[in-house]
Amino acid sequence: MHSLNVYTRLIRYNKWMLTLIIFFFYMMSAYGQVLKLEKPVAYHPKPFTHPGLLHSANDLQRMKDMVALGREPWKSAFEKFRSHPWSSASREPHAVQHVERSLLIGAGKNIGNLEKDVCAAYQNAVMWSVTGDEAHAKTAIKIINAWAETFKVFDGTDVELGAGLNVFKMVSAAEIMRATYPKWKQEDIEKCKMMFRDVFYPPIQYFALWAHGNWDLACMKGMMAIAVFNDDHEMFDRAVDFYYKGPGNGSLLHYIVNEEGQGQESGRDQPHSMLGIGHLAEMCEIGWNQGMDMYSFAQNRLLKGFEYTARYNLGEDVPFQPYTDISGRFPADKISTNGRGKLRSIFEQVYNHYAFRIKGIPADQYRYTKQAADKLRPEGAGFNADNAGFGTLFFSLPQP
Amino acid sequence: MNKVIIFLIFPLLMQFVDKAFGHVPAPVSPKSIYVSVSGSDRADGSVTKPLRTISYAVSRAMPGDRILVSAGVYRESVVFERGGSSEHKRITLQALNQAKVMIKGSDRKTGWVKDKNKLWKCMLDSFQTGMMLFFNDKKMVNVSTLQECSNALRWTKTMENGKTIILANFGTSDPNVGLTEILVRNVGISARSGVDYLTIEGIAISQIFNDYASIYAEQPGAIDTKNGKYWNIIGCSISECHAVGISIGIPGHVYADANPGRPEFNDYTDLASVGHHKIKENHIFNCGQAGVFGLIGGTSSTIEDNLIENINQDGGYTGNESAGIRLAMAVDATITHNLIRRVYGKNGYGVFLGPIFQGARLSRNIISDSGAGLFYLFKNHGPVLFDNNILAMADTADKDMAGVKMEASEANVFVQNLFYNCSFYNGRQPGKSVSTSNFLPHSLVIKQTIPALDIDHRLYGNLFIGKGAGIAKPAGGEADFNLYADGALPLSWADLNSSKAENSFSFRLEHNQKGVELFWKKEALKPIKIPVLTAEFLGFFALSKQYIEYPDGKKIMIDRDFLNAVSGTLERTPGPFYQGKGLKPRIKLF
Repeated sequence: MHSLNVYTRLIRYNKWMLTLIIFFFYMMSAYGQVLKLEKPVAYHPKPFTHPGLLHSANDLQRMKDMVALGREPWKSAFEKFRSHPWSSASREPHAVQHVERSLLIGAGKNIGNLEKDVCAAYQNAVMWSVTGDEAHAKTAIKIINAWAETFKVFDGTDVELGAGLNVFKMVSAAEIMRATYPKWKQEDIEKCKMMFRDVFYPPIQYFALWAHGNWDLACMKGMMAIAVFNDDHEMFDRAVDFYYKGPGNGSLLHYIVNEEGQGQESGRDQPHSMLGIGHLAEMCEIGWNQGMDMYSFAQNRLLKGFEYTARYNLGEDVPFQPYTDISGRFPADKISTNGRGKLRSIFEQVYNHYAFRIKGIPADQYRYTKQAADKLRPEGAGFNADNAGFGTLFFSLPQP
Repeated sequence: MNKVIIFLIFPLLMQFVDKAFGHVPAPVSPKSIYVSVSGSDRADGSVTKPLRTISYAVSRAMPGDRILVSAGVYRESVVFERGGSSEHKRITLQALNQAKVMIKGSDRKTGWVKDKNKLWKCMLDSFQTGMMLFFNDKKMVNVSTLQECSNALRWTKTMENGKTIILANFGTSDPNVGLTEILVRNVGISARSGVDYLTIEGIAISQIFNDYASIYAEQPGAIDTKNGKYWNIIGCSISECHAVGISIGIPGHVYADANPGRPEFNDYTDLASVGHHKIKENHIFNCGQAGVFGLIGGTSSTIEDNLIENINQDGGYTGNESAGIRLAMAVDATITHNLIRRVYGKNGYGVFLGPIFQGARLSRNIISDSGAGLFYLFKNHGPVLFDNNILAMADTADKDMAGVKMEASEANVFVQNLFYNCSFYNGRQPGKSVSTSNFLPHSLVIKQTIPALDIDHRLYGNLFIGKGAGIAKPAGGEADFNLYADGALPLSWADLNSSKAENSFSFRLEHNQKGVELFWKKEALKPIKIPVLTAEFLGFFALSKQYIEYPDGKKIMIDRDFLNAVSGTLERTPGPFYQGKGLKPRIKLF
């Protein structure tokens, strides 16, 4: 079903080789912050599937059908989604020429406008798919077109984060709309592609090797999303390559740092830890919809990260190994209680993948992820532009 | 004494009179204004009727004008009230026909009377704390007690009733007959704050009693750019200054509440409005703290072909900011082919950079005999290029002392240098905040403010004699294609394609009055295959989002050696001389 490349086949079928590869990656990731900007290996055969980010055509149809049938948990999840302010078709765009995301006191421009607009565009795109109400399609397109027409400069100290997070949601909206709404004019689509390539991509192109892993990950998932929408395979390979063996904190093995599932940001705080594994999961979902299995890499390391984080935030103790991150800037000697227990809407996706989409994973290996999903169900928004959120609506699969 | 006062105030008085009675001629630019010790400030400043003081000439100069000074000693402080208006409309202060023009911060002191025990005595009407005395151009040693004045050329002072009593030992000489000078001025050439586009050429400045400088406070210099930019200081001689020879600094301050939202050095945001100085072919010597010093003024500046020597020679400066060249916030600074030698004191460095010198390049410099090491690189995210430098620690230096000290300084790229007895220190800064900013390439736009580490260094194609770098593998560090000789050891974690010389180089530098030569047994050179050292080969420095680049953003390829020879082949000798065995056993370096 999925056209796995040679690399993932090796991982799936040869544990000895896997161990060697992991060791090699650790050796190669010299923990510096210098990139050799070589063309990455090809991970994906052409062409891309559209829509093919978080939601395939089948996913969108499933949401629509289940909501129409009034089946749970989709029914309740949709009610929560529909009642969210960013799902409203009355949203007007607030496009500007210049957005700055900055940590400097007194700096920062229009980032709030962008965040709200990309979330609204995405949620209206899903609303259009689920309800068929063209008002939502028009709102999504209106927002995207307004930004594509206006937006020219994205900068600031935290631009990598801002660009990665926001472009992911805007591309997610655009990917759905291009595939489902023929009235979106081709010339507008081209302008949109140009905005993704010329405004959003430059800040994220070199990732964020000096920062906590969620920065790299924002860049990676944003890059992966742009690549699919713009049919740019080299860009796609660049993002996927970083997931497997990038030298920053955002690559999978640098973010979920051991077999226990400890996160690079576990010693920082829990919200960022959930943000980061949520990003990883979103990349995996794009990969899945493009026929790749990134979930299973390194013996389902992603799931271990989810289990560790869910378990701790559900109130249980977890082992913590003092750890200095790959950048060397953020040593941690104990797990952080900051934000503990405030679960974010990221668990349904991974729970459903392991419980219902693939076979052979014992339930005790995802029990904490399930508990977190159960506790939140139906999941709400993904905290501004951080994660997709609404996982109960988006990712719930029919139980066999 | 009254004569001295009249001499001092006369030029000022004349300026006042001229201004008050409308004697300032209407500006007709560009023009030449002539100055001579035999001139008069009531003259018109023409070649036949020169002015007497440089200060008065400066007050009359307009953009595009040239002030031409005849030979002589000018005992005044020159302060520009205005500068040029562009690169092509500078105000130039220049020695006429390369005449020997000297601005002195001292006044001649006569009126000495004999005291007991071979001492001479004089009285100053004011209370003076800091002071320096020269006799027949030799600096006299200030001592604390009368007993210590028993040797010649020593002096001490006491205060009585608000007056300063000086007691000095001139040996068998009479201070009223010889040239006895007391330093009374704290600046040679300066400007009102923010004066741009000045050229100072061929002027000697000496005997300036300026205060010590700090990156976090005032930074007075014998020549002091005072927040101006685009100054050219060329072919000048700066000597016998109490502290800094040339200051290109803007007064700094302590950032007590620094945090990532309000980091240190966030006051400077526009690269075009700072620095851009050219400091070239100057001789800076016998200055008590540093040759060239400055916060921010090093940004986009070029410092080249200067001879800087005998810094802090009497050990009077005991702070930690002494160096031949000491710069902070020196983004895209270019420091090329300077000879820096004999920087004294346990904190005296050849070049001390930091915090922040992203994009700087240090190339073809010869640095030797510094009390604390040759390079001190502090708090920076890089990248910085060091190529074709010749760095020689003194044979008498403490064996444990590192020649290159990198502290919380990332991404230093060392290529084709010659290191003699020069090991490295590479560390963080324990117990202190190391967060510092990096900028968007070739700008002062703060990109990130995060801890500076000890990572990402490069050591390619260098020649190590006597000592190797001797550092543990830094994260992201790379080293290869180096040549090791005379006991220098390759790095255990790298150097796969490096080589060891079989014979001794018998390396030595031989200094003369104005230069230095290298002597060695060139037969020890051993060619190896070295890849083309392109910017891509050295890597993309992801934090700073740049390669090794020129200030205009173009990538640097290191394909020239110290002698400007072009690399024609991959097989060549590591170090700063491509020619290898074809070289002479004696090479003039400066």
